[in-house]
Amino acid sequence: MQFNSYSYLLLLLIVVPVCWALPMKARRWYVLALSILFYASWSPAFLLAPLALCVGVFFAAIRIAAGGRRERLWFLGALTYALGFLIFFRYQALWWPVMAALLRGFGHAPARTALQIAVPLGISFYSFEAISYLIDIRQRRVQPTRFSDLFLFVMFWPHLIAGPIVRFRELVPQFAFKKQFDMAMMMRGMDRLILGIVQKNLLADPLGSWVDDGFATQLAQANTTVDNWFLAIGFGLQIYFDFASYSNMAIGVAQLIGIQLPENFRFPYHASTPADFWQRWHMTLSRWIRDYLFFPINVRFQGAPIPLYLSLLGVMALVGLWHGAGYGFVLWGVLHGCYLVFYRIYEGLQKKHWPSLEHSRVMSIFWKVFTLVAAMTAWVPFRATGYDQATAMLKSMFAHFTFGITQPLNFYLVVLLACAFTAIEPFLEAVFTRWDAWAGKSVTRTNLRMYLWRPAIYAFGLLLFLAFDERNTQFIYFQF
Amino acid sequence: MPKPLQAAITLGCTVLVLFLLLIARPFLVASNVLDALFGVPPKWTQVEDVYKNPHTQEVTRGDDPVSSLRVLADFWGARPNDTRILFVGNSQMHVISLARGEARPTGTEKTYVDQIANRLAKDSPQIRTYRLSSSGMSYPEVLWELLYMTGKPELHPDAMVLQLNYQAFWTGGIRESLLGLLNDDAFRHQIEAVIGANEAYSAEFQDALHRYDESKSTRNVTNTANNGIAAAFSASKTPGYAIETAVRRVLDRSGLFRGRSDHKNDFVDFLYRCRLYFLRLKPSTARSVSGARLLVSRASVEDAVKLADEKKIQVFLFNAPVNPLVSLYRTPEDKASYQEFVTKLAKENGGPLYDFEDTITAEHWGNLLNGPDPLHMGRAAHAQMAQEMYTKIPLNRVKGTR
Repeated sequence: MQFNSYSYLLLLLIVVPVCWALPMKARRWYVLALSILFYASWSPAFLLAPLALCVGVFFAAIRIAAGGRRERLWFLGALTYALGFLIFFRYQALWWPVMAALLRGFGHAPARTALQIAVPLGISFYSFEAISYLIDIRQRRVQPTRFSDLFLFVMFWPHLIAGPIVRFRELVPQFAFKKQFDMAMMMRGMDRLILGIVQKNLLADPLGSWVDDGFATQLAQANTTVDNWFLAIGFGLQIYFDFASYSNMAIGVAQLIGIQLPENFRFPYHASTPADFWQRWHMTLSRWIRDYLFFPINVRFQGAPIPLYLSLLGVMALVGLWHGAGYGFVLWGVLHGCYLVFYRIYEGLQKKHWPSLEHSRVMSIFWKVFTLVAAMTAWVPFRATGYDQATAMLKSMFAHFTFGITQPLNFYLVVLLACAFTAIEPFLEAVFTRWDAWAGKSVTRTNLRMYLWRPAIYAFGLLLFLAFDERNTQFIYFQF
Repeated sequence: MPKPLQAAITLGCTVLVLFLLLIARPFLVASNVLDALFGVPPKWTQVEDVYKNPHTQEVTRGDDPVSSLRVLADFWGARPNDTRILFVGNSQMHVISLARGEARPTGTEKTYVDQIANRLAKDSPQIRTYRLSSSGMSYPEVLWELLYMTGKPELHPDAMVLQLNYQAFWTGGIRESLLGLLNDDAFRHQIEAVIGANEAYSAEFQDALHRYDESKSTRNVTNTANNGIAAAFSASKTPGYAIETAVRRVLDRSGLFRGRSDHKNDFVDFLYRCRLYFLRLKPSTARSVSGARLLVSRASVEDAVKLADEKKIQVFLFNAPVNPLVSLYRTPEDKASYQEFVTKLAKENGGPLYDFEDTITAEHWGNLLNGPDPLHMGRAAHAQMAQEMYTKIPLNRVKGTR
């Protein structure tokens, strides 16, 4: 069931009031049941994957928490189990050729398509959550609790398919549902939900249809430099609106039932440096990588530059690989690793040799522009249909300049409109927050806000959602 | 007041405002306000009562060509010995946009193609004409339709009068309404063969095939292109999809819900007007056609002519009239390159290029919102075009070749 479907939105009209009407103790079971039903609405068979993962992780966690000589062994075993789970489903493209070669060595000749295992939706997300739970248990940050806690932590439907990637200790305590009905949170949830569906239907999907045309294999070879830049920017905006819209809807729906999920995006294209970009883009994945991979590696080397740079490249390549076993994803990650290394080198040199540049306006503009251009460039291999297309587009963008436009005029206008919206997003948020605060200062204003302005904004958002309703679209991050 | 009740009232107010917005069509109202502010000519200058006949025209103008071709197949199929002439072009063939000073319409008006058809019917009764025109027609679409028609004996024409227009070279893609032709297995195989042949327009055909398959609910959730061999599962086979289908079926009972796409059209029209009025970017704004778009359009039109030749269809190529007040070419090189291409095409086709580009003088053209219309002509211009074309193109000498 899609987040931007009528059935889902109508279901929320029933599910949310029932949740608040139930006794507090019953709510967690209710939410668990809903989460199971939600996942089963994609395919009941998919339920086996998180169930098997949770059962293994649950028992391992108990043994790890018990300590003793075998703690490390249990931990490594459980980690291998969770990672193996992910690799088995997610990276068939990597291991199946090896397996097929082995089988051929034994006289079998499996066809390339002999193994067709459907990838359970959201497996990359909940596998990482299960791994974070294991590491937290091992580091005594959390204590093993009931199986239902772990299962609900993984299965909680708003974040199940495409994040945000949450931590056990920030989500599970909220499943006590001790909060009273919180009107402010409810309204914030509605705001996020409406914003999400508008971002998806009005911005991400229309941009996507233009971008798909531009990336069509045969046509892309004849694109000009201008076309390719617009396509890179167009895709950068499409994936941002697509993923941010999902995150907004996930956070919004969770807020409707009184659960606060962590933020996943913070105006990433306003980042001031490559490092800042990763504090704004897919923040919960960045946080996971930083805390469970990058810091542990670098603690060992105490910040020595070469290991730091190598670890940055390696970790970012893994971030790319997390998206799937495609060369384009890895190249995207490696490119971001290079940007981060470049920035770290500059940062080191600047502190040592050019302290006066710390507050330089020119350098601050340079890094802002660099980050934006670099981020858009990296989207090319991520989206390209193959290596040839990616290299042809990148060459055209940076070396073999050709001018003129070959796409329909509306494509460029739509990209520019989306750019303009992205540029004013922080301003809009600030205005809305101020207006909200101002409107809350008197009873009359509060009533107007509650019963006139907010309904008008919501209704307008819903009108746009209805108008741009496209049934057969998916969220890009559903495939990761 | 209890807070849950407040939330419920907010929700109720939202539904009420949404209901009002659905009735009021705010984007249409906004467009009308803009039109009034920017001095758009009265609506009646866009003639609504234009002659319609499903036996001689694709009356849906590109909205539902599949059903139109079905009607034509029945009509032509019942007259196998008649000679068939197909007129192919864009909306210039079916729109009358009255010029300044032309009187308000009092009855049904006829475009130049209809007027030629009338004269042919009188002079050569064995000749049947058909106008296959659609708004914003692209040359890949022309090829697509011709591939379909030449595959069906009852639709196979003897001659084709193909409109060449610089503006049409800007356009690409296969419209949604033409995808229905893929229901025909033989045609689908033809399209798949074209895709396999890796022609410049193959990607457009592939995209059309993909959209068709998608509309048949076979879209997969996973992107297999960048995803190795992981099996995809069909979103259309999930229980959630079935629930959504049921919900939509119930919602579709409401006229307001069914009309939701009107709001999209209103919104797109509103943006279009903003583009036109504020950015001054008109569809006729002079531009260069280059790169992929040019490659695709040229290859499509060349192959349409080649296909016609292979199928023994006589082709008459004519350069469409253009409003002298509007310059479609951004540079003189664009004009030279276009003219060189169409002349070469005509030469390869073994016939002359009937050039009507400068035939209609400025005062006979209509207006497109607040500016001169580059494509659509007034009443007198249609009459003049009919006369010129009928005199210059030997249509009454076309013989059956099937």
